[in-house]
Amino acid sequence: MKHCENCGANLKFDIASQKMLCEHCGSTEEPEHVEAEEAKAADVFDTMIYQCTNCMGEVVADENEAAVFCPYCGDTTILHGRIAKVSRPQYIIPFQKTKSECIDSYKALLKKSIYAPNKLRNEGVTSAFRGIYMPYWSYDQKQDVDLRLKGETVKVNVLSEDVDTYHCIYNVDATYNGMTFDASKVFDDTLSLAIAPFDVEGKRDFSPGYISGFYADTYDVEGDIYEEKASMISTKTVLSEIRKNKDYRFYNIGKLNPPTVVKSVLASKTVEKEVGYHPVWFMATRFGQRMAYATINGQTGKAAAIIPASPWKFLLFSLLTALPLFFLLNQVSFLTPEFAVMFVNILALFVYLVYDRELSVLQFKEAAQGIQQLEKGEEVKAQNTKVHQVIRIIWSCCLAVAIISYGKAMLIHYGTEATIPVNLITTISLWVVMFGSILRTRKLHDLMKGRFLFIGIPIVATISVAMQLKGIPLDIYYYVVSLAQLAAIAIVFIDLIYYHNVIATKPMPLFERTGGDDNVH
Amino acid sequence: MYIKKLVWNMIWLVGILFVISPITVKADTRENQYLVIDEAGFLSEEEEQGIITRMQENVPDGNAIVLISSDASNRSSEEDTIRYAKSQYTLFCGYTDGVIFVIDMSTRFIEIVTMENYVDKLSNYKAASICDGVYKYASKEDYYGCCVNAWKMIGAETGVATTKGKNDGNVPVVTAPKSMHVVTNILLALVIALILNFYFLKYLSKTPEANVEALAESADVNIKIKPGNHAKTGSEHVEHELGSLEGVIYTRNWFGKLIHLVCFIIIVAFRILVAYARGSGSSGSSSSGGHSGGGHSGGGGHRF
Repeated sequence: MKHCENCGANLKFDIASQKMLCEHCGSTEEPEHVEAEEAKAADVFDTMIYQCTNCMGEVVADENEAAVFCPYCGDTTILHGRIAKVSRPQYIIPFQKTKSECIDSYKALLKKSIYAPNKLRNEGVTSAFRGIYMPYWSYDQKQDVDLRLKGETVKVNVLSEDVDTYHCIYNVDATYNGMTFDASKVFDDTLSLAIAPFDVEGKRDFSPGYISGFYADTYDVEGDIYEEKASMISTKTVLSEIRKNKDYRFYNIGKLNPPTVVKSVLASKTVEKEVGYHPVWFMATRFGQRMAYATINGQTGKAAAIIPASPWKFLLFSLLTALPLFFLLNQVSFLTPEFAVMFVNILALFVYLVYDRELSVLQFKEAAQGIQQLEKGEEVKAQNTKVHQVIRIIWSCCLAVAIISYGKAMLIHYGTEATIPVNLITTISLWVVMFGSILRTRKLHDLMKGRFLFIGIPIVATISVAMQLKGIPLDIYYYVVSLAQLAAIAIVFIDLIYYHNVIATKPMPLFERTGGDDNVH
Repeated sequence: MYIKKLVWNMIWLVGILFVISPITVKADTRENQYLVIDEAGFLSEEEEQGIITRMQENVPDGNAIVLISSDASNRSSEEDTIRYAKSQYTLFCGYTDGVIFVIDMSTRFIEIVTMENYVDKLSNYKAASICDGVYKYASKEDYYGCCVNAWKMIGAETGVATTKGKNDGNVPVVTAPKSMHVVTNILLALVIALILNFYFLKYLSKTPEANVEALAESADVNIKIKPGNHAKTGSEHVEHELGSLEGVIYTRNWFGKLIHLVCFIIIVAFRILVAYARGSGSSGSSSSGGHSGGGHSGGGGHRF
């Protein structure tokens, strides 16, 4: 830890001046001068590592930094610290945005989130942002290849055409320096992509002085993990440049050459990869056993957060929206009891489809944990079983038929007979979607604890169809069934908000750490 | 030459006269008709007269028919009965405004059908409400009460009767139940509001993602593309018959495909027209004239 040469107090990195600043006497020093020259050549640097007793997460911080807040689980407790040697990153992008600027960005984001819990708007919570240097892998890539592509020109006559084929050659010489991907398993890929990009031209050689006053995370993702992705990005960039060439269209090159073939030829090579620290303002807020994270790019100020919804606020806004809808329905409503039942069942099918969709997103999110979260999630999507695909086709057809039949019934005839086939199709679709949802929940048993798949909706729909087939004349029964179905739909929304919040948050982190005293014999 | 000119002038004159002369249509001047067609034999003569009186009081500006069809009418669906009712109406009343009240014993259904422009006075919704209010009489086999109350409520809904629910002797009056509509509308509004708010929540919760281009732009990118030789490797001359499907599918150039497609459609349409003309030539012309636009179906039929 560097001390001030004037007064001996601690020096901390000041964002405004981009220098080490003594808070006692105000003198400044360049961050690069904090470290001895011989230490700069080493692969490691000395620092304090603090471990949270709650989640076992570790952060790097100054030796004199009173680490009282775990950025991973939000626990406010004194963290146990130890001196350690940590892998030295090759570069660092210093913080450019101050904490107050970061809080302003976050508040601007919260303004749009009308359903956000009040807890997130409290001053105590917003001031809980911590500056953390997140590790990123940076790749330099190169392409130097002669691209040989097929081309043709077509001259159209009235009853014939003349086709000339060509071999088109493009020499590609491209370099990409500084494509970055986050190298921390803890940092959610969705959020890290959302606050990207970082301008790597602002990077400097690493010096421990820069992290003075901040936290830092250590990298735990190997460098070769993102090489293929970096190669894909560089290939796409080159392809889009080639497509701008006027000959590309003239010779119909895009039509004749499959993208996969072109991409395999254009595959770039990694020339160099290095680890760097990127500045992120990070906030973890606890909601029961789940964590909601908010991040802000410490260089550009771009904010990203997945914000959970408050059920009470959701209900309040729904009631406010319902008021004008109620007056509108009273003016234009032409629902006879049978039509009311039919319309409500179609509404129930629509809500059930939304419910099933939320379960599928949950399934995708649960699979996407750890590194390469997005890739894992895409794999789950691609492996979407044939059963689910068939179910999707069935309910799509049923919904289309139901809506068309309803429209036809409304336009042509108001008789009860028109409502029976629509109700029947809708009820069958509800059971089909229910079956699909049951299959999904089997894979989500941890999250479904205490939740049950509400099967009230298809049951009520079945009762309504039975009543119509029996020819029960009394209106009151149809109204009761409609009201029961509407109440069932309203209950389903309790689960929908719960699933939304589960998707918006992450489980409490629990890091597995071994070593130290555990291995002493 | 002179005669030719004369003929052309005559044709022009006739044409102009045809355009400027007002087209008059003889209005249907029949008096309003009020009929009770009781095929099932449920009503006595006095009851029929009572119903006719109600119809005259409550539908003074149109025709009104009550049709009670019997079990033995062999009509399999409500549509058949309504078609029959409309034909009876047209027979007796022509193509004028009016209302038909149908009690169909074969399908156990009551319905109000408005004819011609009467739907402007008695909307489908109102007709449905009236059926909701009177079906109970039919359920109890009180067909007289059902008819009388239906016409009273029609008069109330069209503004002819000054008071709704006017009690006439022993016939009780029931207004259509609105409370259940209101309760249903409340819950319906809430559910629709929940759906709308949920979608809005999802929209607000979308995290913006950095696309590939942004990730690439953050890097220091330097691309040099040098087009090299474009060596000709072959030549081909292909013939397609104009308007052939082969021309549409295998022509490589989009403009050529378009030309072939347009010609293909013209050829196919021409062939269809020729086949149709050959096929229907012997059957003569279809019937013309008559009155376009029949009655409108009343909304809200009801089982009993």
